[in-house]
Amino acid sequence: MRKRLFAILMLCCTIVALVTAFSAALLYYSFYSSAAKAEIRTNTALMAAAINGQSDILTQTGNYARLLPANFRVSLVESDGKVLYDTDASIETLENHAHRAEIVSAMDVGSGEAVRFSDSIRKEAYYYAVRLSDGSVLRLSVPLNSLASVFLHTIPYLLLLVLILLFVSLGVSRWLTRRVVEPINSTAMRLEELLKGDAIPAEAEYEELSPFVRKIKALHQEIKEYVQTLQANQETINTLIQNMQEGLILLDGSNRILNISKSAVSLLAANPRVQYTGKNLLELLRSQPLLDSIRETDETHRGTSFMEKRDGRYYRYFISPAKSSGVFIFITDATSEVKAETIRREFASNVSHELKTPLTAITGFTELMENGMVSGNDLKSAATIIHREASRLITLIDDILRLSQIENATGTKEFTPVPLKAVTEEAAESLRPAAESRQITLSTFFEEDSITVPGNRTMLYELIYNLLDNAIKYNVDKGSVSISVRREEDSIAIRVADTGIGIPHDHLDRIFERFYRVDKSRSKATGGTGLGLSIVKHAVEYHGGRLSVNSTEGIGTEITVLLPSDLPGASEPI
Amino acid sequence: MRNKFDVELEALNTDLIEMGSMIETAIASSITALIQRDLHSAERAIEYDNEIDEMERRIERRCLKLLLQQQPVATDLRTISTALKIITDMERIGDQAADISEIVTRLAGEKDLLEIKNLKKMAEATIKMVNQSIDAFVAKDPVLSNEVIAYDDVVDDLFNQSKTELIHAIQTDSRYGEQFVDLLMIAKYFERIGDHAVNIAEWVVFSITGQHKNQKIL
Repeated sequence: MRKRLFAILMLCCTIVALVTAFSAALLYYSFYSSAAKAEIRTNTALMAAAINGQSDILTQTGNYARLLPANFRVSLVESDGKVLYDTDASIETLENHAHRAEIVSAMDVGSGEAVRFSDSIRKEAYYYAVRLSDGSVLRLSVPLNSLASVFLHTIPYLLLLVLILLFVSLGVSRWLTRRVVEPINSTAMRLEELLKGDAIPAEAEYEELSPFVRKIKALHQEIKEYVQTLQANQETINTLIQNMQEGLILLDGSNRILNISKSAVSLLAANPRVQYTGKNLLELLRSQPLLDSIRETDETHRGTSFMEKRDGRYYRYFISPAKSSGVFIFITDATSEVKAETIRREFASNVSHELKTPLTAITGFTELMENGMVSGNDLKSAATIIHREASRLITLIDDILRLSQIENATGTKEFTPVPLKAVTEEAAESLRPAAESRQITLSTFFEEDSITVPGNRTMLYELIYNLLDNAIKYNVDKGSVSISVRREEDSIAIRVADTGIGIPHDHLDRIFERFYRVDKSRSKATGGTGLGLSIVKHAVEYHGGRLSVNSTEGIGTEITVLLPSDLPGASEPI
Repeated sequence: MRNKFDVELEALNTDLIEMGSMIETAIASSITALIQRDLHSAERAIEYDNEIDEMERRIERRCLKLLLQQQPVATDLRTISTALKIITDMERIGDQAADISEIVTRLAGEKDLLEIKNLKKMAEATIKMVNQSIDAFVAKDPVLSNEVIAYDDVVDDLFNQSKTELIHAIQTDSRYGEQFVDLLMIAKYFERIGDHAVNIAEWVVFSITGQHKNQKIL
């Protein structure tokens, strides 16, 4: 705007200056030329008056002619046109002037003038002629170019003037431009301040700007409110994203991360100090299946999902297309899910295997008997085997049933005070024959005889029975098993220690899994089902207790069960 | 406003990481193929080799174009020359992963003799090196790069142990001599992959410091 304004002002000044100079020159020229013509006329009249009637007209003409400026040409023409006198040319060479316009006019009406190209001086000239009393004609002339040259002399001054004017107008234009633009600028500069205030628009230097300021102010307010709403929304979304357990990543069309939740960074074990927003997904996570899935989602606009194992953990990715371009990636840690699935699958295959083994023996022997291939003494031993395998099967099914009973024990937990001494002695009593057959000493210790724990009697019996059973089974001959019941702070501690074979360190984590056996061949011999410790574990969990194992291979195992001495939920009805 | 050059450099970086990701997947597949005798994984590793080659050419073109059109200097020049060097090593790793997979394919159906503990350890060690070298590239981390460079000794030791173990195995049971030789080759491939990972790490250091193997070159 400033430039344009300046250009316009300059253009105006230039045009004005030029037009002025040009018209001044024209006027000046016309004044000057008419003044010059008048001068000729006056001089001619004066000279004519002076020489009129003089006897020696020719000499007088010569005398007067000398007094006139040098560029004046003076001629005296006789009434027949013959030139008597001429200042510039010799009279002999001059032709008859009788037909010259000014002479003819002078002869007729007393005076005459003409502008014509003069052959004698070869220039454009102005002629003025007056008839004298004797009938001859006095003529004065001046070459017009001398007029023009006088005029030409003034042109440089005019131009100089124009230049000076332009120079002055340059400064003036600049100043004017600034004057005009300055208030607009200052209004713009003060806009922020104006917007803050309430009734400021009046302060704008041009009142024409006030509507603008007012409009801007209104828009400003609108935008501010809009931004606030957006920010609030953004904050809500961010809070949601940052607080979710699952990882969420939002990508644009070129796999650049637009938003990423903290949980995604920690789930993927990425560097939490790196700001991943704005970076390429690959800098966070290099996974070809993920890239492939993103490509697929991009192309088909349909969500995809897959599972990937990274550094021993399983991740499930859900990729869904965003509205315009880009995708959402939703990440969950599926490790525990996968593990649970594996355990379930193992359990299914284990249980069928465990059930099948005795059944194979039973069907085998019954088939032999059916075909009459067993007789006499063999019959007895076959029956013994069938009986033993069938009992094994029953034990197994009992165990499974008990386990599932404990596992599925939902609903109201009906806890009654269980006298631990009685329960323990009952279990010990039923296991004593087994212990004695291998010369294992079974000892019990009770801190108090009347010690009770709130719980389910059957389950607690199972718990103690299984612990003792294991301690005897996996013991050495002539070993010892001791069980103690003590009160420890607000729990009851049941400790079963044996002098058995112990449990290798790397198996400790898994001994409570169903059907898990440290040494598979040995278990067959001892007749275990692999469910004992599983039952113990579930019974302890049912009572809200804790279980710990301390074992040294070849020396023995000590299992401690801590049961809460008063029910966690005793005060409140369950 | 980012200029075109910056955009191009970023695309180059992304391409390199993707190529890194490809070789990681390729080598992981070939190791799965080796340890689990999974022919499907072997096939995948071989397929990846083509994609990796294609990616190498693409990055190469990108680098040359940038060198020609932008005449980069200082850090940018280092970045681009690093890219040009790294892709060669990455491509070799891809090749070797494919080679391992080919041997595994050939071994399919034969008696599984893979009880060479050190070979499994080597597989784990090499994939760790490759992962870390790519990590170092992504994070532009000289410390991690130096860890990779130092870790090469572990892989070299494991190679020597595997070799001894395999020689011993051949001596005790020469019937499976051919398979043991194949396994020895796999061990050598792992050792070479380790070396390539070291190269990558060294070039990462160069791209950050301008020094390659402690020598100032740019």
